[in-house]
Amino acid sequence: MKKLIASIFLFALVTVGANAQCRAFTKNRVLPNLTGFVQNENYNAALFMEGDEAELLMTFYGGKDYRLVVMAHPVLPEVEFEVLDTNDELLYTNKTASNKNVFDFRMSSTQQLKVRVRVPDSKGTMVRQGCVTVVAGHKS
Amino acid sequence: MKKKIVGLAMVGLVGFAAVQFTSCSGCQQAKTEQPSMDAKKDSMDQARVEQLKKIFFNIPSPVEMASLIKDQGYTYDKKMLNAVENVDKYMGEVQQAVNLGIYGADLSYASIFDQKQESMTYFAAAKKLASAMAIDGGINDSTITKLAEYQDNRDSVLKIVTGAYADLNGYLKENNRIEVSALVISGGWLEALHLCLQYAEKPNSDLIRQRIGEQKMVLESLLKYYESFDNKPALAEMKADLLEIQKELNKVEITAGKTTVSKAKDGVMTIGNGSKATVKDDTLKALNVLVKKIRSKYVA
Repeated sequence: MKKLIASIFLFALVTVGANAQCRAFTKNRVLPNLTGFVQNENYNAALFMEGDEAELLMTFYGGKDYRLVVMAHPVLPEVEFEVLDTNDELLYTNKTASNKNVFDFRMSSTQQLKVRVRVPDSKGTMVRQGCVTVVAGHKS
Repeated sequence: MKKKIVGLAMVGLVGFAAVQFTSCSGCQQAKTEQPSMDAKKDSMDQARVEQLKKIFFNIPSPVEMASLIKDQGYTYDKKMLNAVENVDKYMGEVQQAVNLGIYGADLSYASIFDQKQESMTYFAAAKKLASAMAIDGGINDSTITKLAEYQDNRDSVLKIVTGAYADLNGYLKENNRIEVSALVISGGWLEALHLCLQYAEKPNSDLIRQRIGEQKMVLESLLKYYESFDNKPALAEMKADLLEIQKELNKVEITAGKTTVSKAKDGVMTIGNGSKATVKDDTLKALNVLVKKIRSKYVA
């Protein structure tokens, strides 16, 4: 029982410690890609394992230009992300994009969009873990 | 199972040592890097998925509401804001967190209107609250110094302000105070809505009214986010208040068509579904009364 508690405690410590480094990753590696845009105050960065997927429901205002930056630390395979409407209609995928991390777009009307982020599974026996960050910015 | 957990503990121990090592002083490069630890997936997956739901959340920034007000040609009105003198009155984490968000929205509004002194004053009030709540992220003395240095450049001020609040939310999320982050975001949203409602009563406010109506979508996202916390007591009061606001916003009619994607002349991808939010006068009036009532409960 003691071992079990110690294990959980250690795992929590590692997760908190490693998560804290996602802030540094976001600041140093991700935010420079948002130059020229005003950053949204929400913070979306966490440790992902290969095969993990997350979805964000975001509201974008009509008449504005936005930039979405989605980045995974190089320890992970290249992150895949898609933008869909609320009917799950695919609007954008980074699979065919020349810049895999940045998506610039304009909204002609206000709309909720889903941003789906996935770290591909390399099918190895050990699963790698690393920071994934999603930031949005608008042109002022 | 026991073996698996012990194995995990070993991975954890190595990882923990690695994290401690990379966190040491004088290891700046290492600190900016990702911990390259490996871990075996196990039954903790579900817990992690739930945790990701609490971290990955986004609503538009109060800055966007403030910039719409300015773009419509309206003038700055200090009387609409929560007075900075109130900052010492706020006790308890819930009231402090909500007002931290409210001051953030006021700060964005002051910054958008290029009110240099006001921006500094609001940032100092936000810093005071953050310190009282033992939040060590984003809003600190070095940011105040930076703000003073760049106060003549509005874009730099906006960058510093939004960056500071994003870092503050990051700090809260990474230190298992996600509920506090949710309250800060809610306070900011409430204040931005309050500001827009004050301008909606002025002439030529069609776009402001439209933006208020669109908050029906934003609030839907916010309340969906609250659902991921089950019934955390710290969020109960704000959740009830947001549900009250939702009752009014549900009276807003939003029409939309099929989403289209096209390329603008300048090559930028353009997305839209032609949505239009219609807010009736009585709904707007009721919303204003309700938001004022809820806001005054937190800022009092």
